[in-house]
Amino acid sequence: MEERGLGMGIEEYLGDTVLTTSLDKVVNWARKSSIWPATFGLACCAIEMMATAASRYDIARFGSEVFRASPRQADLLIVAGTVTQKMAPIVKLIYDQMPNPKWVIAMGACAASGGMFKSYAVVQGVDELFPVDVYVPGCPPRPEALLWGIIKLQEKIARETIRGTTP
Amino acid sequence: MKEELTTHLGDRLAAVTEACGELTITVLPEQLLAVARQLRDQEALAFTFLSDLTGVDCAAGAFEVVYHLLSMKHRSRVRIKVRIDRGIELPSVAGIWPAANWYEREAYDLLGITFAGHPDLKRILTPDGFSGHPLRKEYPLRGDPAQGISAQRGEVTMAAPIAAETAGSEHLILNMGPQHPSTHGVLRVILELDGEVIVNAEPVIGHLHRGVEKLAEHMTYNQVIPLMDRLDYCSPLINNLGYVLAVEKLLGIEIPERAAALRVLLSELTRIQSHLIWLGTHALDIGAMSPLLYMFREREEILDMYEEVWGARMHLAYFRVGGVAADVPKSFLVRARKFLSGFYEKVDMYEALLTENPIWKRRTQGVGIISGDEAIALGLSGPGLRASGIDWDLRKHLPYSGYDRPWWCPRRKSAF
Repeated sequence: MEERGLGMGIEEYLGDTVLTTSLDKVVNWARKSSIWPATFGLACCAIEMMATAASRYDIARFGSEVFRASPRQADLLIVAGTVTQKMAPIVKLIYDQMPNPKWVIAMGACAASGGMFKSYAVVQGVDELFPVDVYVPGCPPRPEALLWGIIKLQEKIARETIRGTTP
Repeated sequence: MKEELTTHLGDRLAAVTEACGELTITVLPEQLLAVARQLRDQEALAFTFLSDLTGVDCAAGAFEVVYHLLSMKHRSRVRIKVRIDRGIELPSVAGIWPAANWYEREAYDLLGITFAGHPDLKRILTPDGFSGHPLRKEYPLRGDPAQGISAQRGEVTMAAPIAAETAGSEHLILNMGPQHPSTHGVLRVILELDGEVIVNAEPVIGHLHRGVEKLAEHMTYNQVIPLMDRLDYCSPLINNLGYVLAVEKLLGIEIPERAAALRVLLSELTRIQSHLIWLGTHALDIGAMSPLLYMFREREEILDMYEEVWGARMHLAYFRVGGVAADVPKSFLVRARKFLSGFYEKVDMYEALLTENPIWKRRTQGVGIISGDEAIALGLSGPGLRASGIDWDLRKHLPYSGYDRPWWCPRRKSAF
């Protein structure tokens, strides 16, 4: 901590037995290192999301392997696939059920903008329903791309502050 | 088959035509039920399987309803066409082919064709509260702005439609999905439970209805190919194949032999990876986590081959009208041979993990049995149909594409 300039001076007296840092840093560190996604797939992208979690890409390397079946235990919603008009209220309900703090990755072209489905049946981007933190392009994005999205989200969480956030 | 049709149905048919090697009979609405029953029951015809039922908006105030039938006994197909004016009811054939139940609901939902005598004619793909019929030509592609977003979207209804008839019973109505750990696609099932036993289930589908048919109407034949990849994203290339075969048939195109061979090779690799997704996730759902990890490992090898062939992991759009997009690199064939010869061992491993596993057996044996007759009546196809004891494989019994060539035959391990 000393070389990062975060020491509070206490270390001088107590040596290596304590670490000091800001509350923001330690909270953000905990939050970004174990982002639990909700188990929820919509279309093609969900298959690539499964591939991201499976053997070769192993999402556990980034602390996000604990997919939760209940939205109430999840803090990341990966919108993986086409959101149709029929599905939209259900996706919104899942988002609403997630406790704060929560984050959203729009995975793939459909979740970002409706993708190639410019039709009466498809929502033209999930940001019509709730705010999105990271957009991952692709149709579907490769697992590496989804991992990139998670890393981007981690960087974003690291910049957040607990001050002023509502529970 | 043409002779049989005219002999047995002669006076009831308005016309019998043959185009692109396919038989079509045209009947008047009032003759439909009699013709349908005869087509199914007459020994010489035996069209027991309804492959598809759909409507066409012919403009000028008319619809055409099209029935696609298959006779497994005589290995032939026939198509019935009935032309009706808008607002005219057609008798439902759900009593003859139960598979028609959903198809007629689809035609009702998307075109507004009504079927008299249907057991439960209601919308199937669009949300509750939706108005209008999207496949009518006058319906705008991007939706009806007058309707407003909220009406197009519907709302989350937790009330159970099957509750009405069971009111007063002690059965529990339970909503399952669309968000549920075991629904990998988006499916909602309304369950009626007697204790822990499911006595009735009503599936609610259409949560991934993307309006592909309407979109395709606004495109050229070649532009449609990428939409086909995304229909069944577990086996994208096989959907490409079905579509390009149809276009080639319409245009009368013969494809080169090498392209036919490549299509078969890529389709069968696709089939393997699709089955790997199924088996892995099915095992996961009933409590076995590790098979999924092994099966996705093998799936990745197939996706690597896809990438070598045409650059993408899933949606290749590699099959084109007239053949394939480009020849495969030599290294692909080496890789495919290596993968296939090693795959037998992998299957042995899956068997060791699952086949005799007592938990797997207890959770699969005797569950959800569909008899052969039911399977045919409901229009089940592929592995589902064969699992019901019906020996029917289109590749073998009505071969198409490259599957009719002498070089196509399933090989044993020693062949590699």
